[in-house]
Amino acid sequence: MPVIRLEPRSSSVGATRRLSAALVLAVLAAIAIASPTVAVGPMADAMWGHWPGPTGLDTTGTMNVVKGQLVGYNAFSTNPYDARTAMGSGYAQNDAIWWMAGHANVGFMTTYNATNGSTVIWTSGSVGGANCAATHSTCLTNYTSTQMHRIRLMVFHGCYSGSAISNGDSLPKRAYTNLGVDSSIGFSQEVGFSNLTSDYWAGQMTYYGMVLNYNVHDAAWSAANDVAVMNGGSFHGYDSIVLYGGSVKIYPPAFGS
Amino acid sequence: MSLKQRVLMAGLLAGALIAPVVAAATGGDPQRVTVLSASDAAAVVAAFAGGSARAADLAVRGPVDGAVNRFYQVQGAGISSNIDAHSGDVLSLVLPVTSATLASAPATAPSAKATAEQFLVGRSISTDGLTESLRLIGHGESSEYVVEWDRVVNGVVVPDLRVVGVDATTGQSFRYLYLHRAYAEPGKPAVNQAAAEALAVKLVGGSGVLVEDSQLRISFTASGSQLLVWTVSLTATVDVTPEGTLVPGHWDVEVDAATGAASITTAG
Repeated sequence: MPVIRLEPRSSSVGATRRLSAALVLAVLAAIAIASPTVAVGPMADAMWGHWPGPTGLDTTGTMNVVKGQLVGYNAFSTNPYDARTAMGSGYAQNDAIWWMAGHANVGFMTTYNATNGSTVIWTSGSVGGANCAATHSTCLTNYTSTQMHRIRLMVFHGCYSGSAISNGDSLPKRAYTNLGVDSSIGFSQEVGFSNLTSDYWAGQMTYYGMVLNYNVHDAAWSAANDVAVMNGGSFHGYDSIVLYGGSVKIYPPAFGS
Repeated sequence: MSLKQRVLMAGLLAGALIAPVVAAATGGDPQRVTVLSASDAAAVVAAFAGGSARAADLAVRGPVDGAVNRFYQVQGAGISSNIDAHSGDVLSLVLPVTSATLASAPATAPSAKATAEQFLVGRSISTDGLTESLRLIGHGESSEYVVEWDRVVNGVVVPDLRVVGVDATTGQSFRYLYLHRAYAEPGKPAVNQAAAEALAVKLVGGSGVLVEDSQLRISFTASGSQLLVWTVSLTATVDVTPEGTLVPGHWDVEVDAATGAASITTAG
């Protein structure tokens, strides 16, 4: 037969335990007051690449600007392992805002990692040289709206990233039309990267969107004009916006529909 | 009297003192001396934008320094604008798409041209001596007639530019850019185009660097001195992926047309 031991209510052990419990509660309450629960917002990835060499391209600064503006999002300025990872469950498939800055051309966008070098996101297998089954590179056609529909804004920040291939498809068009992202942006000309071009456009665009609550269309165009004024009349390609879902707003922070 | 002048005059008549305010660091450029107050900047932009825009709804930031001027950023109610803090010229404007504009008629090339011209005429903005051009550009879900006026003197692009963007679907002007700064007539560059391009290619280095475009234009130093510079656009393959995809790089190089000093201004 099991022995049930009842401790006397007035025992010192019981008093100590009650005191300990009270202290724990007090400490927890103090912590709760001093450190109110911080809600983690929807994830935003600003993905940079740093191509080496004295004339190499480094988009880290631009992505740091974007990350800093996305207050309320769980935002990261980050270098993805490769292009396929950038589209995977740790990035695009868990993102409200997906923004990649790097070299691009008609039908594809690239990122750079010191281990994997340049890796590619092609619009589809219809882009010349595309290999949608590549280990580190990928195609938008590999993904579905079920995986991507929670993206509110997807930015392909590179030269000619919004230009259409021969069948009329483009990165931002496919993202919006087939992957269910709420809004997407690319460019149909060369775009400059520097603190007075890409950093300024991205900073102004997100300022208009996050602080002034402008929709993506008005934010992107306002920022383009700002670049031209800052640079003595040169848009540096930022007036070649290719945009879908222009009425979408990125504030308040939220996933896409 | 221009709209801007009328607004400024109204402010003066009302007793508002628009005293020249020399910012802490003008760099010595007299064209960067702040004359316009922030509140006047908002009033000018509200009047320039027209419609229901009210100065009280606009926030003013700055002034900040750009490549050729010092300007305020004026924003709010879906409007964004930049206005020269010295001259009071509205340098840019973006108007929001509204239900009224959505109800408008689609544009054709002639109607877009007429709309853009009316935008300027209605605001007393001159295009005298400028060369007009028009092109249709696709922007994904929308397209735009870009009507542009610029000036080339002795083969040099000078700081005198107007751009009006007309939405092809709504037929409405939705963006505007203005650039004008006094300049001395440019002379012949000491560094010719071929030499400038060679310097730019050498600076970027490597084999297979191609020149895409070169443009001779006027620029200004921080102290306001006029410069003549070549902007040379270059491209080259910077990497090849395992699948054989060529990764292109682009650079803009500025070459001082007097000294040959070259620097990369943007990469992409």
